[in-house]
Amino acid sequence: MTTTRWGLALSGWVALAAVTLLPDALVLRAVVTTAFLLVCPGLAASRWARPGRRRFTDRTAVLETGVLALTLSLSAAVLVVEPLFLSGTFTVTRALLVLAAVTSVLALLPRPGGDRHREPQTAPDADPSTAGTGRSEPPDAE
Amino acid sequence: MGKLQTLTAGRVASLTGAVTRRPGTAAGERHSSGRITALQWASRLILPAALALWLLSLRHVDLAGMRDYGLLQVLPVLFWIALGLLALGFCLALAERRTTGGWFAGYVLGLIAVIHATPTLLYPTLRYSWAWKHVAVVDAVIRHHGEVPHADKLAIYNQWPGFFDLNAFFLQATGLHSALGYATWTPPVFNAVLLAPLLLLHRTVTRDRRLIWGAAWVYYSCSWVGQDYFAPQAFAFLLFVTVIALVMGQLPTSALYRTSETRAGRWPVGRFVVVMVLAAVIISSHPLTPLMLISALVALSLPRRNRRTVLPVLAGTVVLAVIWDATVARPYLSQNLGDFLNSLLKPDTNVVSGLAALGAAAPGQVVVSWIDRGLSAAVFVLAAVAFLARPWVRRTGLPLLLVAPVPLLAANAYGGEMIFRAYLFALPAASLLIAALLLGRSARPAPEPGRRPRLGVLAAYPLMLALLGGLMFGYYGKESANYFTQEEVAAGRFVAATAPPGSTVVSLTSAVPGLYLRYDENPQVQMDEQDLQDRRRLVEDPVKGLEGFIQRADPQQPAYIILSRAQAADLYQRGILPGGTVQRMDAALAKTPGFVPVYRSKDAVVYRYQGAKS
Repeated sequence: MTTTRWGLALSGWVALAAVTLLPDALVLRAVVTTAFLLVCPGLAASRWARPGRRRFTDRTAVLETGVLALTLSLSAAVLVVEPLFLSGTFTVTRALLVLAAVTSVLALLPRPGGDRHREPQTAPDADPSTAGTGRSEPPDAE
Repeated sequence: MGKLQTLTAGRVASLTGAVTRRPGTAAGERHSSGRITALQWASRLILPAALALWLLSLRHVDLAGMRDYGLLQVLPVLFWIALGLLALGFCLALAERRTTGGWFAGYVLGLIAVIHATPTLLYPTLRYSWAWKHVAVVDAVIRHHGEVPHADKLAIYNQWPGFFDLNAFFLQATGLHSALGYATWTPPVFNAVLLAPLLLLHRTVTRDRRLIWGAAWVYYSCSWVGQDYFAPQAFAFLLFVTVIALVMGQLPTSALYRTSETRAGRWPVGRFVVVMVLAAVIISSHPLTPLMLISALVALSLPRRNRRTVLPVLAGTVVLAVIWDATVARPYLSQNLGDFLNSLLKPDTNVVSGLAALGAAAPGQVVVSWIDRGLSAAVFVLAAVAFLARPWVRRTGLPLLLVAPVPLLAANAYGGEMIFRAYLFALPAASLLIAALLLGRSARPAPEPGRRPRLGVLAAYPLMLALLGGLMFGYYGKESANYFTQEEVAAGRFVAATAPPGSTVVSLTSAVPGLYLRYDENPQVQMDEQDLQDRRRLVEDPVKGLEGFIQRADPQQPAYIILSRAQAADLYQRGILPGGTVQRMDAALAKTPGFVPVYRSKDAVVYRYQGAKS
């Protein structure tokens, strides 16, 4: 269990504490809740979206994680608050509570079959991505 | 193969030796890797210089001078020099094979800043009346804890509330009072954020770093339709590009590294759920984008090899859309079903609806309109040429994504907007096709691969400048109606703060900041949306023309008539009502008993009317 995952698991509860204990529009509250709402649920969920093989030096993987962290965080927030608003039961505390719980679960639970999909490590450029597709080669970097 | 300079791990690749080295590739020129060439120096110096010139150029801009050509006619020469330099620096960076992704990112982010941060830095208030409207909707959602009653024509936002609910939640969680503060910065921030899924999408098609960044540059050089402000469309478009990038990455023709699952066309469960989550949010946030998504997925599923990947996503999206439309969105859809069916039967009028009504528009606006339409046509023509000249793109999903919005173009006019929205949704694919045309080469080996990039740049620079020029006309050309002064904002806020609930708020167009504040309490009347007969009556006699719309006014629920500078500019630009209508109405109301000027500044006047018997 990495520090990042523990951090993600706790992030929602920190945001909930900030909203509960700090006054409106205080910079600290705005920063903590913004950071949580924009990044944490999506970052926790992006673990589950990864194909087996990822490496730190793979910039596409980093790029994809960043994209998913933001878009999934926003999406998670929408999917949590929409039913609450539609049913007339919305409160900030309820919404944050659900998001914090979901984020914790996503961060802490082991990914189903996480290691089963892992493939032998090969050089990225040796990947036969166009093999068998019949497509002529995209232009090389020149 | 020689896939060396990639967005991803060229360094790793070169270390593994799993590549073929040849003259003209990065690995083949490792002997010179320690030297910084003149091209590199030039591209590294030009970026900060261009940005500095751009910031300097914004010191003295006379916004009051905007007329037919909006910002184009008030931005100083220095601004255009900065923009030209930026494009030159980017082309030089493209010409240098060893330019790193960081410099490309700097240039593209610089372009986004120059194009999209300029209005934000110059204008004292939030740009676009529609952005003001969306801020008002968020405010209303907070006040009503969800669905906004008596929303009238804004009821559509109750049926697709995702974006507004998200902002209402965000505001209450952070304790901020209004979305106005961050809505102002939405265009530059949205475009900067959109860059990441765009790169991801382009990365699924090619590993060529020059192509990927060139496509990003082309995208921002051609994205003139202005759907990047504080709105559900921008939010849904960001998610749309992300979903398409994930789906394209899963296709058998993807250039991404893949696992055994993806090679077999199967979705890893977690990844599929993620795509469905994004699709669900698109469906609940915006009426048009789910249709664009479904259309794109249908197009991608046409080749048999893609179906195993695309059909599950398509089926899931359709099911979710049907569920949403049959439940939450049902009231709106059932009310407007007749119109939708009618539109389906008139594909020809839908296609041209966004092009009509130019006859009486301002002369400059006719030029602006032809230039932005010319840019749009050029984008499609260049993409078509790329399809013919670059055979490798035919095996990618790009041509399919390019034509995917076309069926919707024929299905519905979307208030005359559909042709522009179709352009928006086709642009991510079109931009990479154009980049492939300008910067790439066909599958045949080049006779002199080492010189090839420089020659390409010589041809690409004028075209890139032309695309940027076209964008500037389309994106900046209507700014006199999109920009609001503090006085105009004060007028809108005055009405929202002082009008008793039930008051009718009358304006000539929607170009009034704060017009929709309290839209749930005060009925709105916009004269430019009325029948031709009503508009004609208004032009002939402003007081008599208003009578039918304010006859219910009384001292408890008066009518407020807002006249302002941006409305005059809007009318002048579009020609819906004759130029000078605002001034004539002001003069007529000022001398008519019963119309009391309750707010007046140099840019706006508000009249209150309490009924004929008051």
